[in-house]
Amino acid sequence: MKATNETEKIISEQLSALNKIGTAENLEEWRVNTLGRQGVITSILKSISSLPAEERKAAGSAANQGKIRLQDAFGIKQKQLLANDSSNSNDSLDISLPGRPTTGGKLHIITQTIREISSVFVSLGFQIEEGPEVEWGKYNFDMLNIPQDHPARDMWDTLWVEKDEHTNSEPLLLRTHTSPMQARIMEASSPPIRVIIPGKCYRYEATDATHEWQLTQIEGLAVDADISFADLKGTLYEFAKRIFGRDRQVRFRCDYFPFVEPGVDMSIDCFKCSGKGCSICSHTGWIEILGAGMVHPNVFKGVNYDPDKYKGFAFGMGVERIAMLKYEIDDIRNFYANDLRFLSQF
Amino acid sequence: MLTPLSWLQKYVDITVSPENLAHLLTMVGLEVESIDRFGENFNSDQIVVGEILEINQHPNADRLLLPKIRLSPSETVDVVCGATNLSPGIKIVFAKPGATLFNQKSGKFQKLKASVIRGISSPGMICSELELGIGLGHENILILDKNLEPGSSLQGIFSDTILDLSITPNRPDCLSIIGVAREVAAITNKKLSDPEISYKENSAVSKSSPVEIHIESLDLCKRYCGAVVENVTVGPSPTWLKSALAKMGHRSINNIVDVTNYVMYETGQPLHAFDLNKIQDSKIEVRPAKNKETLLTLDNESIELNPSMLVIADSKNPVALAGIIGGLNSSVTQNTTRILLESANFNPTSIRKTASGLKLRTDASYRFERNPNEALASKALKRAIHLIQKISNQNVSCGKIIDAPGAQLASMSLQIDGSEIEKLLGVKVSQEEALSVLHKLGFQSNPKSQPSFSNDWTAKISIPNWRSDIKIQEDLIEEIARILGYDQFPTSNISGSIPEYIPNIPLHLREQVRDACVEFGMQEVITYSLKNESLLSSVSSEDSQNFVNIANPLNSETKTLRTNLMVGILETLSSNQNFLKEGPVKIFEIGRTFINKPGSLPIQNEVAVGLISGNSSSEGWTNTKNRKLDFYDIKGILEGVLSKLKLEVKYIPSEDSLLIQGQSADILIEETKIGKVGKISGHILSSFEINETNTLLFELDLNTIYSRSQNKIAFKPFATFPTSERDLTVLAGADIPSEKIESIILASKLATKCIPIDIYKQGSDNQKKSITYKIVFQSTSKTLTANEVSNEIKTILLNLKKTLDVDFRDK
Repeated sequence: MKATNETEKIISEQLSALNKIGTAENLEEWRVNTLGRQGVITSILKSISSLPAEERKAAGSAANQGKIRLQDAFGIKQKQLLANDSSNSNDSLDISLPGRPTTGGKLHIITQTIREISSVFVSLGFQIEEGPEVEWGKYNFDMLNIPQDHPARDMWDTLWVEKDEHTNSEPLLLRTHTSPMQARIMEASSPPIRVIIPGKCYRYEATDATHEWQLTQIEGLAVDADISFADLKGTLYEFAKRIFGRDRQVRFRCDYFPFVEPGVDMSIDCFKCSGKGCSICSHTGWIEILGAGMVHPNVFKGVNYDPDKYKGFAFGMGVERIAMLKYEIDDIRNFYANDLRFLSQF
Repeated sequence: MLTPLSWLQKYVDITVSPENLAHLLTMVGLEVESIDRFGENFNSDQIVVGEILEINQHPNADRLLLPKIRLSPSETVDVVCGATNLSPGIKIVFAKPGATLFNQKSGKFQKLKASVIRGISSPGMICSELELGIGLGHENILILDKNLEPGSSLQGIFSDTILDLSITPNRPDCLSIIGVAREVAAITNKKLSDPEISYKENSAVSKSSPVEIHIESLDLCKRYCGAVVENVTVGPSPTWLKSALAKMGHRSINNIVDVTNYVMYETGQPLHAFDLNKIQDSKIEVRPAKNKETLLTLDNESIELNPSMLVIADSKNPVALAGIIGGLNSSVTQNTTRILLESANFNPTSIRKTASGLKLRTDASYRFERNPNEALASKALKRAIHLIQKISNQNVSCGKIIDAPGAQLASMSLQIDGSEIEKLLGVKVSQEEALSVLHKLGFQSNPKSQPSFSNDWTAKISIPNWRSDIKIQEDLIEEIARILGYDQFPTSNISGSIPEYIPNIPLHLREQVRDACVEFGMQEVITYSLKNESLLSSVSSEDSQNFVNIANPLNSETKTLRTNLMVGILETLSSNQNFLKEGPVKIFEIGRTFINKPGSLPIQNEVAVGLISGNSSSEGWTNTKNRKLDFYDIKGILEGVLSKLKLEVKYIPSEDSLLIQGQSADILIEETKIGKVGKISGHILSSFEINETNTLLFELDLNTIYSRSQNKIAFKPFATFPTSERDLTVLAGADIPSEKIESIILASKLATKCIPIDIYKQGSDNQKKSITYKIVFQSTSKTLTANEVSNEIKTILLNLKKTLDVDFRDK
């Protein structure tokens, strides 16, 4: 009986030691010392064979039961520690410390803005198309009712592609706007059409705080038998309210683009001064958002649409401009400087 | 187009505030960019008319004078002055101490102080244009009209409010005060008055100064009106004329030239005055220039001409570049007594080509490019003669206007249809309303008007000659809409059916790639598409013959369209590295690349590039295990991105010279290369001045991926029986890819996963590597016994041994 009592004593000592354990490291140490190959229990079990025969059974049973108790207690302790993680459950944390950083990146502010604008038009039944950035002069100008040597061409200073010496091909250019896609889409499909075309454009333009030679536009085109100026206003009004807020005033005024007639400029009242006049709105109280208009009959004729049968409206806006207004960015050059201190803010 | 309100006021009664007028003009399409206050400093009684009574020499300075100036019947003052154009009796602008003047030295408007100059006190100043802020002349003082009363204020003469209008290319008629006045009259319901054009004609002039005008090609010059004026006295312009031109930002030259400029601003028709004595044989020829002919322009620049340019020539030489600039030799000078006034209409395309070719854009060429109506030519000429007679002495005599080849003014008309208005604008407009707008703008109609409450009406509209932009019915409808006000029209939603949805798969996949890159920790960047050609060459596998170059680049840094996205992403890293020393940089870009394809549009494929550089994590209290980023970091991101697209790819060692061999791979779908991944070579990094050597990237050709992606997911039932895990350590030659071992292990039907969990190299030259795999076994039909798993492992070991020369540990 002596050996059995000894075993009980050791087991209760081990159990109380286990109770005091607070860290995973100590628990592992305890496991090795107690339940491991060279641990206390193993040595007890080994010692049984040296006991007198009449004591062996009782001692073996006590040792085995004790081992099971210790294993169970170990399991429970392990779960407790896991639940408390590495720190003691009673410790209070410094909740002001920053959390472990996650690894997600961010979309460029231009991409975010394109998506935001696109989602408005997609919900109004428009589909997204894209087109070539290097374009034929024909699509960029002629098919948009901007003939060669017309002063309206001054509205788009152009970067021309070097002519190939060997082939006498038509002039190529970097598209100055996304409008060439109006003609391409109409050539490739028939009404009803409702598309928007986001994409990069390029201008022969010196760079300053409000001018960039690379820019992003979103073009829009809707063509059907009974599209009217009122639809143009309704669609763009909804767009302006969703992007800039229901409180904004929206204004439509006459403007000129050769590929539309009537031509439209849409402005919102200045969100900085609410129309009183400040430097953001050039003291006019209004901020231009986009150009638009009813598709010019000459554009329809160019793509073999019957202008008597179909009407349409088109619009185009600068993504950078909208982002600058929305996020109070004061210099357009930020967009392509790709300073991560800028990009990470959005 | 600068529009002084005082000038506008001559032709239309302005009853609204400048701000309100600016708003109204902007709404109808004449955008007002700014409202400028001109000569604001005249709004004080410190600046007044003075009369020079006598001029004395400054006792202490040879070059300074001491004029005595009368400021009122009872008040005179002596001041120090250095100007050379003083003479007794002239009227000048006198500024008293306290007046606000432009100080040339400081470049600012400042308060004038009484001063002592070379020992003589000078309580005030005789002003030049520059000091008054109304022009640039500062050597001579400004001489005023003789009839002005000494002491009187100059506010009414010089102070003005000027609207700066942005005139769209379709409205050449509004490049004139009259044109703007016409718009103002229409929108404010006022009457427009025409400028006075009457003059006295002297029939004797055509005998004393006969002029012959010959137009070689009517395509290049539709109309040429000329008039001879004799007995002119060239001299300074009257104050009102100087002031009018100063407000337009134009320098006063002499009375004759000033009148031609004044009439151009007023009517939109450019004019030119020749000294008739300098015109050989009094013969005017409008013809293309001859090769190698030259012209010395008014700007004293010698231009070499060619036959694409239209010139005005006398019997021998060109005397003007038609519609652009006059010649110096035939210009009006102090000695001129006989002039030929020209008011013509030139081909807009020809003018545009010549002016842009010579980079010589003038007020005249700007207007001619926009195709003003030829009817304007004779009207403007009459106005100019009227003004010359008005400001000159009694003796000037003007001959009959020579009109070559004579006006053939076709009047144009269009049909307008009430139902078409409703169709385009989405609302009914009554005939009365529509026609009333058109009448206000100078259009005439037949019928004039009759009340009609339906849209079932039509009318024939005659287009006034100044509105050459009105060509189709839609143009007329815009006129109606803009004057009624776009804001007055209703809004509606598109009522037709939604067009059939056609999925845009490339766009969808690309946005998935974009989102995945962000999800796996990268910041998106967007860089310029145009690059420096040699920098691009250094990182491009494309032959520079296939580059797409810009014919008129802004500079050499933006000469060539990119053929890959390397330059942009490396430049971005380079420009950001100085303030991101500690944490990792993880950036990506998705964009087009451009490769020349003779005879067609360049190939414009989309590419994604991702780049990581530096340490695995940012500094911070939670960061205990920081290490350098390596190949497996970039590959991990890449695998994450590709898994979003459900793409199965394989990796083979890359020989790309931009990447370090042995630490880079080509990415293949079947046998097609879709990209590369690896560590960037040191020589590339140093050419971009990148200090961090642990810089890795991947590049993916998205267009190939678009065509390969199987973006279709079908649910597969998963097994619910318990799994068994076993570890297996394989000792293999260092050149055996883990992928091969894994594929043999996974060939076992029961092995569902095989994850390398530990790897280290051993042997003298790292010839061997030891890889431990965790293998997960699972059956789809039952719980596996320990025996079954052991047997499966045995089979795997056998297969590995048979296929690859490997050993095992811990059997």
